[in-house]
Amino acid sequence: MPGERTRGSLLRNWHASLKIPALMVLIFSMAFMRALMPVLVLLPLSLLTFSISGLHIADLMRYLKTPLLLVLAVGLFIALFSGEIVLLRIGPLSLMREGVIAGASILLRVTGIMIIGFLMVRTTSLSEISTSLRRMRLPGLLVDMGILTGRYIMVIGEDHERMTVARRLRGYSHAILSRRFFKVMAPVTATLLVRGFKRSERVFGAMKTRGYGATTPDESIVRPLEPSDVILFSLTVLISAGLIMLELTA
Amino acid sequence: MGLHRHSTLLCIQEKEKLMHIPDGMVPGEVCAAGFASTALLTWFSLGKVKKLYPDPARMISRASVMAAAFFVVSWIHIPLPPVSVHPILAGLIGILLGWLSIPTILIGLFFQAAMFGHGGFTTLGLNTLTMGGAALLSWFLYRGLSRGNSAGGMMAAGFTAGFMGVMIAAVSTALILILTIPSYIDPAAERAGILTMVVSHLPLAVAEGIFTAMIAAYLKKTSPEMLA
Repeated sequence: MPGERTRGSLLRNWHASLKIPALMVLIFSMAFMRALMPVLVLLPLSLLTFSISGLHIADLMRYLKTPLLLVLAVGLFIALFSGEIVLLRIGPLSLMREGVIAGASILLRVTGIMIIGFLMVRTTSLSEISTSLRRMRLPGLLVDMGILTGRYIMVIGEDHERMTVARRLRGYSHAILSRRFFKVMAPVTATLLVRGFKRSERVFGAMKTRGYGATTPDESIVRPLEPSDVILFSLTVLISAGLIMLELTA
Repeated sequence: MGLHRHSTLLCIQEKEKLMHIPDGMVPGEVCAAGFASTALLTWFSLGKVKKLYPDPARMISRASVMAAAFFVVSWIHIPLPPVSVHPILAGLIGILLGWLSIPTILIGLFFQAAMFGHGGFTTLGLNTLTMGGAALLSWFLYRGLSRGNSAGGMMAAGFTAGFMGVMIAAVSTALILILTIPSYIDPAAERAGILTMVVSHLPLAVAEGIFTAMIAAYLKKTSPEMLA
């Protein structure tokens, strides 16, 4: 039945209208931390939160893989070019003490924040996110755009998949950048955009027919807040305040 | 989010995109300033868009379906051996959507952060500023250069928009990253870092310039109403 609690982890059952603001406050308080000692707390804290989420570690690793590559590159750049005290010389390069500390601090902070961000979106459905954002007074226009975009990524993604398969079946693959790449891919891309544009006209027609703007979204299907939602919210805000205090006293 | 289970998206998760600033990379104060600036820019651009589309349903349908289309088009990989990169598309978004590119990019970046971890939630404002700014500036350039309406002029305008879209986004991202990381970073290394990021994006910028010019020329012939 809509609005009822579903069986699942504590995070999944946490009411989105409190979960999203609470986790955003936590993420921002993590972003404010700079000193290495307080930042050391972030990774255990986020891993502990992950352990109660019921999500798979493989999903988390896939989510973290690409951003962490970029962060590692930046961390290495900082370790090599920031500071004055040399820790280690490798040929013409020197590993600096201040740079290593700053790089490690960034790496830990990014990982901690990304884990919490991952938990926030993977334990909340798109409709819960949109209802929550609406309650947070975000412009309704943006929220509605977000919902429709989420829906059409699937539809247009399938168009793209079909076109890719058709190209491969005709023997086209592009391992190198050539004139042929542009001759084939530019019309394909333009066709996808034209289809998107024409689809938007049909969506507009459907929205008008259904009386878009004349009615407000039905929020009666959202379950009411429970004491456990408020407790989790308060706990998360307290932890965020604790992190800020830790940073200020470091 | 339920979306990530889709098979199409799972295979696309493996592909990489490194233009956006991840969460935790820059100080919280800078992220907050990014959010404030993006809120202002979004409010301003929505005001401009409302004049073009008096009916909000038309604006929402156009922005969301095109945001989804651009999101999908960014999965196409451009082979630039030894790597394969994804188009940034800031120039093309600007050419097609004009002022609507700001909310479209904001939403697109939210989905990229949510689904693939590209970019971030605290850096959503900063990333929207760099990408949205690049899209708007490219659009202004395109409008200025394509006035003559000749085929060569259109191609040159499309190339400039695509090329500058990548370069403006790369330079602004590099500047934010380098200037907000440790204050004691060596100034020579700062300059080297910015230069490296700019130079490493040049091949992509040229490829995207050609790509954007060809798409703009195609759309001008087949669906001119799509150009902003």
